Amino acid sequence: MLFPTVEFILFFCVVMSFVWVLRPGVYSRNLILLAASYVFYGAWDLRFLALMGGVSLIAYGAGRMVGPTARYGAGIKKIVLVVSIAALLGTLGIFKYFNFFALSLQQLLEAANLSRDWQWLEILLPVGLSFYVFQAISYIVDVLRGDVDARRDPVDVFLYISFFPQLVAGPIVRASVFLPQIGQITVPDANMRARAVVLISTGLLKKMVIANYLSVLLVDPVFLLPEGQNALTAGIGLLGYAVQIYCDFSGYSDIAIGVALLLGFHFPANFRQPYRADSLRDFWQRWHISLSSWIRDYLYVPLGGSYGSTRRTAGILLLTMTLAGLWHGAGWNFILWGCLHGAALVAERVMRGIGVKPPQLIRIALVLGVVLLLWIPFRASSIGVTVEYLAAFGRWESYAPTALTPTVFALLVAGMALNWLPVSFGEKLGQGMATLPATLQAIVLSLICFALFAAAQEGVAPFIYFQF
Amino acid sequence: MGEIRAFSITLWVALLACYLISGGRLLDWVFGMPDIAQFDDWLIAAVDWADQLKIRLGFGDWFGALRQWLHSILGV
Repeated sequence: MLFPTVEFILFFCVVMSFVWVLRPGVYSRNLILLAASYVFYGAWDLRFLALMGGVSLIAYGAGRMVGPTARYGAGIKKIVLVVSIAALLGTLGIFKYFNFFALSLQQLLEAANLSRDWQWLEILLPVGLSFYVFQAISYIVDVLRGDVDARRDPVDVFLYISFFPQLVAGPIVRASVFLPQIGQITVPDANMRARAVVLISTGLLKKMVIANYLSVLLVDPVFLLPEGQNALTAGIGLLGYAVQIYCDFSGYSDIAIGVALLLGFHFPANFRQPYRADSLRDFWQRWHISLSSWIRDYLYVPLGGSYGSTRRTAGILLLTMTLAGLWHGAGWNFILWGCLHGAALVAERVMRGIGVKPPQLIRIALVLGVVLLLWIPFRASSIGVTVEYLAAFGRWESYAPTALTPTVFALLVAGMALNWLPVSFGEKLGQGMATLPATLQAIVLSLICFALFAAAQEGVAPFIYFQF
Repeated sequence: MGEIRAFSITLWVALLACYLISGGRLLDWVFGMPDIAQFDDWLIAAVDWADQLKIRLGFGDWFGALRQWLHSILGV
């Protein structure tokens, strides 16, 4: 069940009615949201429910055993921590990476003339697995650290892992942010509703109009035939992809945050004008913030962070970013993308260390250039396609059929404008909307949705981050 | 609590209004749903009856007209 569909609108109206019209107590509200989340996830494939239930059960059980008040020794707690995280990562590994590593092994053996008729299992990747596994890990670790109390009631943990607005593509909400909110009912006031209307509307605009049309009119044709492109069309295609992925993913996050607000939950922002970052470090503090901070707190810092020698820090950065690349997808192109981001971050640290600091505008342009260039392996289906795409930048003579039409140009400008608009603009829109009565707010939201559904193309394009 | 209830109820009313002016799209959508045994036939019959009523009351496919207009502006 995707956000921009009739199914989801009907589903959400039913859930809102159960929560706000029937006025249940806190516990009943949590049970309703848990049931709704399982219906939402089961709509993809009923078999996925068992997996999500299993992940939640591991998090709940481990949380009960590793908390500061649990009656177990430090040794037992350490074993529980290691076993539970290994089980969670093992689940992720089997479902997400088995096919990739098996195929890579097969290719390696074939290259060494050890070819056989290999029979591999075709394993289906459950949507959102990477996201809720990371939430489960953060719950266990936060309980161990004493940042949150281990929950006695499994409903709390199961709802934290499965809450439908952020279930399939984030934001990855920390247990310390989410769990305190399920102990009370926060009725959305005028400001929360207004913010939700603005977020859902901009999210739908970004996804249904800008990202989807850019994908069909520009990005897909260019990346399908990179050998037919020249430098200009390759550059425009790349810019198109940068705008598409920003609008696609930040659009999803906006809708998720808005939907959660209408249910009385606050989620942290996941994007903050990423393409105006003036350093790569800054970029990662603006792009997919919930994942970047998760990787920083649960991987980079525990590995040693930036407290050791320069060489050690560089190694940790490279390793962390390579693993971040692998998290995004089971493919060498994603590993390359992560590794190159790591290398660029190391280079940036070195330059900062020796005092190289160009003017801010040049820094922004440089960072944008690097980020754009590194989107090539991310979007390309393989390393081979990446190389072909890069080769297009060396061609000036060949004719490419994809042109920069007025529609494509307008979409690029609109997408970039949404990235560059100051945060205060959205806040002002929200403040204006907050002055409207509740009924009028709902009518505005409905009219905008109606117009955006009409403007969108037929059919539903899945969100890019669903595959991760 | 009163305001968010009004908000939720207005969303339902808006959804009904959208249905009234969106031609036969709901029927198409119901046909596209996975089969749920007898419930399917009952649902299709109900939506078909509602669609006929809509036509008798004079509601047109304004959604389709808006889509055509927006797509011509967008050039898609």
